[in-house]
Amino acid sequence: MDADALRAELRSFIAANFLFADEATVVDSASLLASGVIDSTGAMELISHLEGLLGAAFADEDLVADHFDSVDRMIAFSAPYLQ
Amino acid sequence: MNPPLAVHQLHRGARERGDSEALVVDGQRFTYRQLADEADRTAALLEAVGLPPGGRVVVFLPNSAAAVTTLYSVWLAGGCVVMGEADSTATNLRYRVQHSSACVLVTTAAKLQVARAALAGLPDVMLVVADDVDPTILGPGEHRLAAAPPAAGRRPAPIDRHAPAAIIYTSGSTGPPKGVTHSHNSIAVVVAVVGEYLQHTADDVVLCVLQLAFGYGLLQVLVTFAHGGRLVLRRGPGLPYDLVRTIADEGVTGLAGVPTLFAMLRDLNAESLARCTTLRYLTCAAAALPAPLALQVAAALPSTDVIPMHGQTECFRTTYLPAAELPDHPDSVGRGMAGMDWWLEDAHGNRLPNGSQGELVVCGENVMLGYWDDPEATARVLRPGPSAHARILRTGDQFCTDLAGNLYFVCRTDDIIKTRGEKISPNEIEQAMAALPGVFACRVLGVPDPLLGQAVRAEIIRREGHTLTETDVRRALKVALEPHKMPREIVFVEALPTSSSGKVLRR
Repeated sequence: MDADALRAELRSFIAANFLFADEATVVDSASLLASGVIDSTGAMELISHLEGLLGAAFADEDLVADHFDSVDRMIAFSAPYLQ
Repeated sequence: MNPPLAVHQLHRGARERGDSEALVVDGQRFTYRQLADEADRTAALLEAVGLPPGGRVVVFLPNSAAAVTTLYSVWLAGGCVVMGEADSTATNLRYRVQHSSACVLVTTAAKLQVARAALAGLPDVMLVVADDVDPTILGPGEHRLAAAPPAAGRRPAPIDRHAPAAIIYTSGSTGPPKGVTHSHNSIAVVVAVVGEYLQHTADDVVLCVLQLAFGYGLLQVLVTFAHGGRLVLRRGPGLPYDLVRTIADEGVTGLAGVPTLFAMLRDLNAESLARCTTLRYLTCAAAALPAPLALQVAAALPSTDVIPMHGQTECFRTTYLPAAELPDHPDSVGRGMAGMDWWLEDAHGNRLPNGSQGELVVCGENVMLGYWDDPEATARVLRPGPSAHARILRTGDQFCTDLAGNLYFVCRTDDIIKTRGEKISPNEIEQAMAALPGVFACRVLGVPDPLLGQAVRAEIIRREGHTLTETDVRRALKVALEPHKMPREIVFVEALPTSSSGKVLRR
């Protein structure tokens, strides 16, 4: 998977599961936790989905908001796992 | 009992340990002296904008230093605080303002539009912006806290300890939210009892990830400051390692959570958990903590007491399980708490002996004054107690007791599923499913069925890395439950609806 495909997957997952709205409403740079789009449980679901997409298992130390708080941050964090 | 009132605790802290740190939030640190001075300044502004004695102030602020100082300032100004949830819509906020006939709404610049929409057509309600805001955009009746002069050492308003101090709105299964009204005394009593059984001291560092708009979150602040401890305030738990870092960096000794936070901690590895050795206790309330989860977390954190509790906004807290009893009764929430009497009643109001199932009834000074401006709803749950300020509350929660009087939560009376004429507790089925390693979270609810009345539906979020199937769940439930309790539908979902307190909702 490349970064564009991952971005599309994450946008669609967030739209369907958290925003209950069209993908166009997802702002890639927006903070998901601070804006209340997702709570901690939602974040864990999102991370689990991302691990599935990348075929990876993240270390505990990586489970911080800095890595997952927006689509852009998730793409940046996922770089080592992408082709 | 005449325990000290919460209103005076910041100033007591300032007198006794003025330069000790009281609050850490948003990367900033505040001493008791700084908080007391800021609360005085805010109280003076509330008075200046016309808050009368007993007047209601809606606090619409996210977890922040301003939320803490504003809370105390309302009491210092002789008012009654109405907590608004940080993610409240204008409609919900307006309901709270109008229902409590509030005089003032305190908010932030970021929420100004929501606050203005909530106050549309209510020119008598003053608006105070607690953080920095461009003064030129403010209209009549809108005030900046930033412009208020210092008022340190201001004389606090006289307090009637039995007058309303806080209104906390809670949503029931039907009808609009009800305004649970507590007096200064009922709050002081519960703060004293909880501080005692959790053995709080000035050395404690409490991490509060719960909203202050909830009774459970509010108590974290009040109990910590009652003992001169330090409060670390966050807006939600964040991700698992954020939690670990905060605990390690701040030397957190106490943490209050809901079951999902326990599930987060359980899934961390031993190395991460080893960074949490300062953690003296971990409490759980707001939703029943599954026994396997309680035991797993207790095993993973050997220096931490895991304390399952039960409470409701109407009395804050009803019971807790002393940590030493967890291995023997991990599914119990103990036998009540000091300063409060309790018993179980059947549907006709008869007191039941130990070894029964019935509705939990509590009696004590921690019980609310009533629901604000709703005598009918109040009369349905409250009756006078043995003394002037101790009231008797029907909790609406079904419990069992064993012969020793240990309490076991069954479910909300309203949540009972009636299928084929049998009464089923969704909680019992949820607990059985939560025991499966592949289940991260789940809920059970009754769905309308023409034949059965209601049918049992189970919804499960799979735990990461597990391949749990419907057959696996049915096989396990067949062993754990009677046949009529087997869900008709079992579905796997990506998410479950949660309340803003993190509780999985059944509706």
